[in-house]
Amino acid sequence: MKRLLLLLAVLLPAALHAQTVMPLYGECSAKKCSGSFSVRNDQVIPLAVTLDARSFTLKDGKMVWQNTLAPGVALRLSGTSVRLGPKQSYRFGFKASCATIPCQFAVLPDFSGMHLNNGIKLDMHLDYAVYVCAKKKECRANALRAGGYQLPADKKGKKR
Amino acid sequence: MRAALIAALLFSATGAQGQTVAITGGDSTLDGAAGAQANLFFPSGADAGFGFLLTPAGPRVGFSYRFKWRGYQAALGDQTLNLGQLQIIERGFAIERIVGKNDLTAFVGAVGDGFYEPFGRAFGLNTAGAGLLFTHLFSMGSFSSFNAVHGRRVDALEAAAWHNRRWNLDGTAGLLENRGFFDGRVSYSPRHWAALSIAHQDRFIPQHVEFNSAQVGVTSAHLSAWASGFESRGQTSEAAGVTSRAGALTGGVSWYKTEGQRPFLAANVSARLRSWTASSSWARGNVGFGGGYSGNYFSVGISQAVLYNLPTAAFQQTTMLTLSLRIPGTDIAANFIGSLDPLHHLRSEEYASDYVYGRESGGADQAVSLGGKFIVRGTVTDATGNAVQGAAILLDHKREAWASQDGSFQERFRNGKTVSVRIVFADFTATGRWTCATCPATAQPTKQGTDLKIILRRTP
Repeated sequence: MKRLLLLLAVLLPAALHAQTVMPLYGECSAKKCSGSFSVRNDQVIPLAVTLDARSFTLKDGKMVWQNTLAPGVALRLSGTSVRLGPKQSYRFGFKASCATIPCQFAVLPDFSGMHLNNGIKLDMHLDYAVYVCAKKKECRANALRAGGYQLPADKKGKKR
Repeated sequence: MRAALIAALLFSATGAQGQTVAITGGDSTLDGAAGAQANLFFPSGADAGFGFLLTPAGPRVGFSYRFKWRGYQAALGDQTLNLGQLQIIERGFAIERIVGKNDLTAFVGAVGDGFYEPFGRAFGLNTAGAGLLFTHLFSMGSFSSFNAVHGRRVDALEAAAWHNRRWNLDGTAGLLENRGFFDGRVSYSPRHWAALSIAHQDRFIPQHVEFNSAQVGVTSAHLSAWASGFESRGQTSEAAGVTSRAGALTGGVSWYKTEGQRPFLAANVSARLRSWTASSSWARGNVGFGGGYSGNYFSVGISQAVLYNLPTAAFQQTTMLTLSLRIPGTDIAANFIGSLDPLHHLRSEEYASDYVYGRESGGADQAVSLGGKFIVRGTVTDATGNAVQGAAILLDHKREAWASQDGSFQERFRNGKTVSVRIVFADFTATGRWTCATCPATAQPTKQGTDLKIILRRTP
């Protein structure tokens, strides 16, 4: 019975946590495009995080992903992988340039558990989106509007 | 207790050194123990822990520091070595090396007993000595050998495990502190709806107890039936039951018998609706009601159960009360577990935990720097050219990188000094077992980025 109680004691507080990417997006001007984002392991087991980068386009209110970065997008990252201990966070930096403006791309951190010899591996993909425009101000909002998205601010304006 | 709190506070204060500090403290009238534990997690992947427990056998401490050193996993302080179902406690210095399917751990120090609570770990040491643990993995199982000498005591144990679609076998046998030891189980599942298992267990809780059991069960979508037999200290117990499920309702009847005691029947019915449960049980003429709520931040429950009590070798009716809560916006969690026996003796365990964070680590700060200008990058593929996502590469003995979805990896260095390259199979997030086909031993970081080509081969 003692063992059952101990098992219960271990299982009870084990809530399922999501992983974290902060912030969710960044905006920058074409002249100087750089920034950073954090990844955080909200679990109590170690995880490995790898980064992938992909371009995406916004069309008719939908996000269309490409498999790689579009030609003309140059992205330099401070690193492409890290081990995150329990509850640890890590900050990645990036510098980017786009041949054509505006452009958008995303860095996708892939959170993956440690080694398994057999079985199914579950990965969690989150994304940090970067919007590059001629001017930083309202860059994301303008890109979303041009892609057919209706923003909450626009809806409020219509009601008035 | 006071010393434990002081130790926990000291560890909190060092949060700036370790990036994350986990602190847990609690009290248990179930085991008569109280204490606290602090664990530090360093950005390098190393971790350290300190635990203090007041146990019925007197005060006990536990401490450990685990780190990687040139491809070895090293541990200073306390370490638990797993051999089948058996755990061996060692305090001293241990070093582990994994090469392919072989894992070898060597230690020097003292061997003793462990005290595990949800709120802390501590160890009592017996005798000084040294030992080796070797494990070899094969496609459907493993073989382990543990040999140690400490004081005038000898441990010589072999463990093996094997399984296929229907059979699952594992066992540990040999000499444990000059005494014979055997622990083994066999389970067989001829169909997906039927299973049977037999087991012999040697346990130390803390006195030596031998325990034999046999279980058989059949299950379908709405109905399951089971029967069990137990033998311990020359006393036998049997139990059998039927459980039926229909939607949110579950009901069952069970029969329990212990040698020398009157057999009894127990019945229970329970219903679950979203986060709420309600249950009612009947046993030996007593009617009990239970239920509870389970949410993200708060859960509470009362339940009745008939459990086999290993130390008394008999079935025992128990009412359990559980309470768990987490403070929103924080990592503070508190838990309470209470157990009420038929004589209305309440024994409980309560503990709380929190995390303290040091500064954020990373290759970049808020002002954005990419780190070093000298780059080693590469790709990891299999023999057919497919990317091996999750392959782990250790550069310069300390910088570990993982291959991303397209098999690529990259690390930045502050100078162009040649760095060592090693594939760390144990840290792969890719499933399966791999070996090197083409693996360069060194790389030269350059400003343009050196391209490494690593080719791996999957092994069965």
